[in-house]
Amino acid sequence: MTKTIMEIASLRKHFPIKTGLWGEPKLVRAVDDVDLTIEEGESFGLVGESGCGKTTLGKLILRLMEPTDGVVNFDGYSLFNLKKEELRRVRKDLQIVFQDPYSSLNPRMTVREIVGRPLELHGIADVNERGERILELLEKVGLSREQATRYPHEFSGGQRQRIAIARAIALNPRFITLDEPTSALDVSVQAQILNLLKQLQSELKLTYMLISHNLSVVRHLTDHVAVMYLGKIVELAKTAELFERSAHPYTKALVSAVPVPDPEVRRQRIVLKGDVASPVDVPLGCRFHTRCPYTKENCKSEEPKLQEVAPEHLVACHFSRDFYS
Amino acid sequence: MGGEDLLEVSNLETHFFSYRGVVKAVDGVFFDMKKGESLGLVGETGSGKSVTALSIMRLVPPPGKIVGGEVIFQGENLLEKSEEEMRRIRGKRISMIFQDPMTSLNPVFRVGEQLAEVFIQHQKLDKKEAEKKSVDLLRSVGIPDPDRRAKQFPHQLSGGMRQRAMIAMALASRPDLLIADEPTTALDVTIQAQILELIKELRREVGTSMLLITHNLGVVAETCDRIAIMYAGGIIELAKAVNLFKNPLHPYTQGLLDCIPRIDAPKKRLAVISGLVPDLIQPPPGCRFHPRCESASDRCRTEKPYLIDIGGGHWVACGRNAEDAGKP
Amino acid sequence: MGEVKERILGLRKERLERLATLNPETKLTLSLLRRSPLAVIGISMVTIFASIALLGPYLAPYDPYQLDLSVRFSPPSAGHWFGTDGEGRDIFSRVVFGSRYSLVAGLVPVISAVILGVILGAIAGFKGGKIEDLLMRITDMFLAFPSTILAMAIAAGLGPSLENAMIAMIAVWWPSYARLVRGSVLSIKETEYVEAARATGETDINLIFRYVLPNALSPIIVMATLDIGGAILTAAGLSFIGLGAQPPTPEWGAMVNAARIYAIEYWWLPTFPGLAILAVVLGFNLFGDGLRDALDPRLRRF
Repeated sequence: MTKTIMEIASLRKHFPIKTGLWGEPKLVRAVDDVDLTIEEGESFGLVGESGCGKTTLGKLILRLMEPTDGVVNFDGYSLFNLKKEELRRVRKDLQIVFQDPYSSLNPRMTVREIVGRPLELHGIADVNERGERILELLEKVGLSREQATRYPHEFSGGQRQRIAIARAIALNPRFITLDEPTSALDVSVQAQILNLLKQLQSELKLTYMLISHNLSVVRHLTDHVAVMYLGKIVELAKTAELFERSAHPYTKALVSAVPVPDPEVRRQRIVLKGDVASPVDVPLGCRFHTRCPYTKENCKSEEPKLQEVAPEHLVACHFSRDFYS
Repeated sequence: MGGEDLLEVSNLETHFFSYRGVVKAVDGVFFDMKKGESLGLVGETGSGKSVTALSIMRLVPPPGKIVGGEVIFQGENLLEKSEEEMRRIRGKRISMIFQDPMTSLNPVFRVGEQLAEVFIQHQKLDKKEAEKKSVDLLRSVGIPDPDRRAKQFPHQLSGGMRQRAMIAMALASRPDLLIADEPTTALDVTIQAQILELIKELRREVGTSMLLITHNLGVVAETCDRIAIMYAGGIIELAKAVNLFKNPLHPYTQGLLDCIPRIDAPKKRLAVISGLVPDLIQPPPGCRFHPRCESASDRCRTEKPYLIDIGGGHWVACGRNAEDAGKP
Repeated sequence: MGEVKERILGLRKERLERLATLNPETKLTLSLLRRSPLAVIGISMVTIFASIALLGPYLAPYDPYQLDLSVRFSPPSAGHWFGTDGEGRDIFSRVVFGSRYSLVAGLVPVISAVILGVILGAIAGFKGGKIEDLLMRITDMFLAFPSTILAMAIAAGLGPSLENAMIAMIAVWWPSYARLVRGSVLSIKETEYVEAARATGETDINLIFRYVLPNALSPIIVMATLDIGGAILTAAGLSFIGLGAQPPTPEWGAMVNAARIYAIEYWWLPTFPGLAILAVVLGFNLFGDGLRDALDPRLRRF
């Protein structure tokens, strides 16, 4: 019986932006009323295009930002109610790997310092034991012990990402947010890192939240996927179900937009009109209606709620039943 | 497709003279293009694909220098032309679009003005006519409300629109060759789909040939007639798109195809190409790929293989493949 | 007891290892500096100046305060390379000793201003909000005054002496550093490695001193180097108008001031101290320029 490790309810993050002396303050509704649960040990994917709020959501669940509203329960702790000391302790279990391996490592620190700092901060082991543990961690992620005294500059993108992963697993966390972990890497390096992540997950019993715009990677690595658009979840289902039987026009468009490395596969491509909308001026009614090829009257005024269209398959669209194949 | 030769690149060599040594970014590249076709140049970081494109345009930044080879475009060797002659070719007979439209659009000039420049420069139109044509061009690339957009600055347009504007600028003078360097890499997936459709459509209308540079095999599968795979400064396989994917011959190509996660066909485990991309200052002797190749033989370690025609327009630079095909 | 010893040895070993492997960025900076002729000239001049200042007593043939009225106003000769002044003191020795005052007048105010400015700027940039606003308004206030006049006013208010001149310079210089650092901190604060550190529970103090500031150093170093030349010049200037070092102190600016009325008849009196000021300031400026070019990220690639 799997246990829920993270529960997100009514999570909201709005950023006010000034529009000059006279303008009314506008709101960037980056994350707007998001509910989801993540089971322990699974990989949960969060996909969407720029402006959908997935990166903001990723930061909120680590409390790298304070929410405007809503609750995040991690392993029984109500994250936003924790005091500074308690939060520090809980942070041991919640780690993150960032997208850009060129800017996620302090250029002035050696590998040993980067990977060892979390251990030092949380008072884990003494100096000598720490040294040994750092070297073990490096080996675990596929780097060699000799590289501990080097600086980030001296490594390739893939190797730097390995260092970032070593840092993330140093404290034996239970949950790791992977924010576009391979987007800045070449495909051959990406494969190595994805395999490493899968291997570490089973070895260390980790739960992953994978945030990515690369749908193929998400398909490969996740058990459940949520699709976000302009701050809201528009579809949520088991991975295979979402990709093969998507029920939201946006999801269908997303999936069909991905070019496949096989010239003989002729796919029915749904090309959306217009640009990715901005979270500042969110359309009324269904947020997607301005780009949706199937917009009807009530789409412009009524916002659809997430509803089950099949067991464990939620969709926020007035006509989801028609789209569900 | 088919017909006359448009571009013939022979033994192109471009080196970068850095303080650490000479980086042989492009080290003996051979390929050709026919009028009207689209060729995809695929490779990972450090393969030399972008430098190849810049070499064709003679836009290699210092400390890079083209040190050898020929680039025959419509019968003329571009490497022998003067800077003034190249200036007349760029933007008119050969156009280039880049990954980040912000860097090729001047942020302090309005979009319409920049487009008009192309018409004024190359087609010698007067200002009013050029501006009208710019608006038409923006409309033709699918930018809504083109009159208003023409008066805006680049930062006021979204990424997708800027890319469209750049494509508009590139195709404004109906060039014979369009070089597109990672044109959709920085864009969202749905916008990428739009731009790829747009490029396909415009190529049909204008008849421009296209050299598409990318690391994305999905994109080339969809848009290119032929595909060339680059590794460590050289082309190691070149074939019709269908043949390349159905029957990849070079171990690197096979490795690449096996390591990509597929949205339509999930894999249990991604194959991995062991090792790292080689140092281009001191590349491995013989075949550049041999340290990472599972079927490397002694010959691979000493002899650098050349592109050999296996048949049906399928070229491979691999010692083992040459042996299999019974060629020296 | 043995455990403690082991631990200390372990830490020392780590420190030594770290020193041995220079940060590759530093290595790159050094090699770039080596290749710029202007920077090399600048560094040489600065090194010569520093050596003269440090070795002063051994280089000067005479005591700078020693009077010898029998040889007053003697032109440059074998016995007195730069000649003698109105009191018969050897100008060469005085110029040599004057370098020590200039060194101090250059380094102390700049280093102090840097420390003060960096601390305030870092706090402002890091904390943000009202603290930032308050600190930045104070900074703006100081910057609103023309620096030379402010320095003169403070020096005049405190009383003419070299020490007070330095205090005046510190007061005038720190705001530029505060502004500079605040800007750097604002941008570095948002980088991913800072966020990652925060996600691991890193303390604020450590974030400032181990993550943000070390990466904000380059512009500060460049500005400070260029400012040393300016500080030396300002100190000499204040002394020249009588607000800094007072005679008979062999400070270059004071020497030029004292020599003003004799400038036409006895040209060597103001010339040599003046040339010394010129040479030293030029040296620091060349060094600072070379350093700035070497640290410029766009020029660093190859």
